[in-house]
Amino acid sequence: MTTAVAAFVMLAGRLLPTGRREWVEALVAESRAVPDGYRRLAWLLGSLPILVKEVLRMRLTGNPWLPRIAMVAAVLAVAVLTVANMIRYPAITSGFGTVIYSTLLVVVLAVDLGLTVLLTRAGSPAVRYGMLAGLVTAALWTLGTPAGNKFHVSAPWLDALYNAGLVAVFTVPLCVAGWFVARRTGALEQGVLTGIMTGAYAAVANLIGGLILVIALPGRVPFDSDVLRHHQTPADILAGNVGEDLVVFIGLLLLWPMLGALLGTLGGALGAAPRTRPATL
Amino acid sequence: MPRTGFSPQTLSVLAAMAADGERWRHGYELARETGLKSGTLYPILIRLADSGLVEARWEEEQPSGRPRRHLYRLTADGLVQAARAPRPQHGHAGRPAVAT
Repeated sequence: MTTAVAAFVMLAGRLLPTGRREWVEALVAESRAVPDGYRRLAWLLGSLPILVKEVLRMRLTGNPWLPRIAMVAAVLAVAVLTVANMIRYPAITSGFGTVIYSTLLVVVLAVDLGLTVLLTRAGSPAVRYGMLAGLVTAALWTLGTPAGNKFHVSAPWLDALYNAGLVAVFTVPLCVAGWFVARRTGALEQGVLTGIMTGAYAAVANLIGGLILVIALPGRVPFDSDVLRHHQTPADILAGNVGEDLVVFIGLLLLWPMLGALLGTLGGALGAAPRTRPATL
Repeated sequence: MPRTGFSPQTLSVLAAMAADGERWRHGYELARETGLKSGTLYPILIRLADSGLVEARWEEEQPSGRPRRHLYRLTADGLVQAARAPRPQHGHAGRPAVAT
């Protein structure tokens, strides 16, 4: 039994990079010093949480190619969805700001992609934690904004609660991600970088979500509550969606990372501050 | 920036290794001294090694009839950190080992 478990652990350990595989091999080798039977089996089974944790960490989040591939896929998705919107709604390219916003879109996405490659190459945790926090932020914000506007409520307290929730969704993850990474690394600059990347990834994911919603539900997803309140014809709503609101989405590509720098600094300062109580190392 | 806070389990590992800081230790030996299970001990050793507080190497000579064992000891930074760290509380160190 113990031999079979040891063989399985060694086999599973091969999933890990060399530096981590060595620790699993060490644990298995050490099991030979443990009295045979239940104790040796318990010793070997202790490797399972390590295996699971390391496989998840190294293969899913620690692999530098995964965030790079994800970012390239996101850029491609933006390109395809933008072209699809331009074909479906040719009027969105007729405004005087088209060149400005198109250039802004290309430049910011190129910077985001470049930062992703550079930071993963440097081994910074800002990318993987920023990507995770950014996706959560974007999911809540992208879905929360039109949902709240669609089901617009008249009760002032509920409206205030909803708006406060949106503000929290827009800001808190940037600060928390910066705090978390600074706390793990003890480095303020990693917290700042995480705040920036969280904002950048949230904006890209939000743009993709917006482009999809506009294509899928053009007349029923009024992002701008003012459009819904004062210009309630379908044509006005559609114009609001594919015109003004997409410009806002592109603008967020700049605004969100800048806000992330500010809130990441705040969270990072808190996370990197020396602690007085014992914490898990 | 080096960490200043350690979990009680990490403190017990640091204390066990600092007791004879120059000597290379085996994992099972540390488990017996600290009473930690392998699933707790090894993640601690990994994190301490990642932090530069513990160094690890394999036995140099291949023993007959068993694989080479992994050896651990505190680095100079690890000795400093262990000296600064508070003493482990009872109940985390010196408990009967999982495999005695």
